[in-house]
Formats: sequence, structure tokens, C-alpha cells
Amino acid sequence: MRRYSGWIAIGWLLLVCGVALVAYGNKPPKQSLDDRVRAVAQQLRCPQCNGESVADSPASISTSIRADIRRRLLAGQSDDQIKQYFVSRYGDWILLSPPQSGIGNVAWLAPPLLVLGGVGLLLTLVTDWRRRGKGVAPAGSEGYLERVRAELAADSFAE
Amino acid sequence: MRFLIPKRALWSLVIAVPLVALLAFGFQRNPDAVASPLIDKPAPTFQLHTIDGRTLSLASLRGHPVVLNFWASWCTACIDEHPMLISAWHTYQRRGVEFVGVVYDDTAGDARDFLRQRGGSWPSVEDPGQQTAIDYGVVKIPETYFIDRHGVVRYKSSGEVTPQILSRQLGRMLGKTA
Repeated sequence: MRRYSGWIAIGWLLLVCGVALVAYGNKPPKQSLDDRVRAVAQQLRCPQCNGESVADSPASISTSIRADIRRRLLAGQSDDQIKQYFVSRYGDWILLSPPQSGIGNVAWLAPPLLVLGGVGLLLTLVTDWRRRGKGVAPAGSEGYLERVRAELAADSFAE
Repeated sequence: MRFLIPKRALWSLVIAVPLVALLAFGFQRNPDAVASPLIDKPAPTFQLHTIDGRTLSLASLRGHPVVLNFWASWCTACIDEHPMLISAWHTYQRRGVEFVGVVYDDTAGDARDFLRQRGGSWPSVEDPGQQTAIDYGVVKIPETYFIDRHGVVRYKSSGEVTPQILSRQLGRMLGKTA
């Protein structure tokens, strides 16, 4: 029995994990109204502040917008419908993350493209430097090379 | 090797020129001037109490061009633009233009004191919960919306409204070019 105790423990652990997954895995955790208000408010820019979300801002307009979001959620509107309402009044400017469509794509695509461009540039430069390092010595350096060779030869004789 | 420096200079220009152009474009823009999606759309309606206790609805002004000005007594730019609004109100009220102030994040008492001291006889409404400011997408006061006689938003002015903006927009809404 002792021989199998390790396997039994692992079996129990797997069983408990399986039951937990079945019980909680399929259901998203239920959000309270406050959580939902905060989730929407976090995606909106405070009109009076610099780069602060409506959720984090203490400005009076942000307090009013949070109250408006709450009213709309209670009236049964979805998060997307509420965001769309604010976009219809303030424009895409109100969204802290640019939309993934139209001109908004530029903001999403530009950073990875710039990184790729940077990596490409770095690779080109490194390749260029390595190629130059292995290349023929520039003209006019023969005398210098001769001296190096002679010194190396003298060193090897000295040893 | 001979072409290395001009090539580098060329690449530097290719990178620097668009960046400088972008910065120059950005610095010339008013960061508070957010384009309104309401332009050429029906103006959001409201029915609010004036600071004198009367009721005013936007619908009741249908048939008149409306200058809707969001302001507050604590806002220095609003103080600066106020004489301009008084002058425009004297000129255009005779031609059927209605001026309406929406008090933004301020008390009715302070707004009344402001108007008593500085003049201005057009109605100003309180905006509880700033719902009208949200409906119009107000970013930073003063903001002025020009609504034509059919109730359509035609222009949004961010910051102090100028005589040029007032005459151009009101002239347009009254059926003249200037």
C-alpha cells in the first residue's frame, strides 16, 4: 500500500483539479456592477486630464461619466454599446486604446513594424561591420602590416 | 566608402524630416481642439432649468440659430471671452439668433453673480450630472456649439470664441457668407 501512496496522492490531486476546472472553468467570474462600471471606465479617457482614465480620475466630469456608465449598464446596455455612445459624442479620442480598424490600425501596427525595422537595421549594420572586418586591408597599410608581421616573427624567434 | 557619408546623410534626412514635420504639425494644433463627431448631426436635446429657475428646452428654440456656450465662473478663458459674447449677442439677437449658456461644473449662485457683475442677459442653464456636457462631448471649457435653425450642429469652437468665428458661423447659419 505504501508503494502506491504517491500515485494515490497524485490521483487525488488530479481529481480535485478536474472537479475544480469543471465547476469554475466554464463560467467567467460574475462581475459586480461596480466592476463593470470600472471595466468600461478604464477604457475611456478623462476629458479634463492628461492621459488618465475615467476610472482613475477624480475630476468631476469623470465622476459624472462613471455615473452615466452605471445608469446605462442598469438600463441593460452592453459595454460595447456604452463605448459606442461615448465615441459618438467625443470621437475615437475618448478611447484610451485606439480602435483596431481604419486609421487606428496604424497605431497598432506601427510599434511592431518599427521594432522589425530596427532589428533589420541592426542586422544589416552588424553584417556590414563583420564583412568589413574580414575584408582586404585598406590601401596604404602594407607598411604597417609588414611591421606587424616582422614583430610577430621576432617574438616567435625569441620564444 | 566615398558614398558612405552622403548615404548616411540621406538616411538621416529620410528619418528626421518626417519626424520634424510631424512635430511641427502637432505643435501647431490646439491639443484641446478635439474634432466633434456631432458636426452635421442633430444636436442632443435637453430640457433644463435656467439659473433663474425657468425651464428651457433646445426644442423650444427650433427655427432659430443657437449659440450654445459651455462656461463657468471659475474659468479664466470664459471671463476673457465674455465681452465678445455680449457684443455678438447685441448684434445677432435682433436677427433671431438665440444664445444659451450651459453652466459647467459650477453653482447657480456663482454663475448668477458672474452675470450680474459682467453682464449678459441670455439664459444660462444648470446641467445636473453634467449630462448635457457629456452628450455634447465637451472636453475643456469654454466650448461653443453653433446649431442651425433645423437643430443641426454646424460648428464647434474650442477655447475662447473669436469675433471671426462668430461672424463666419452665424453669417453662414443666417444664410449669408460673412
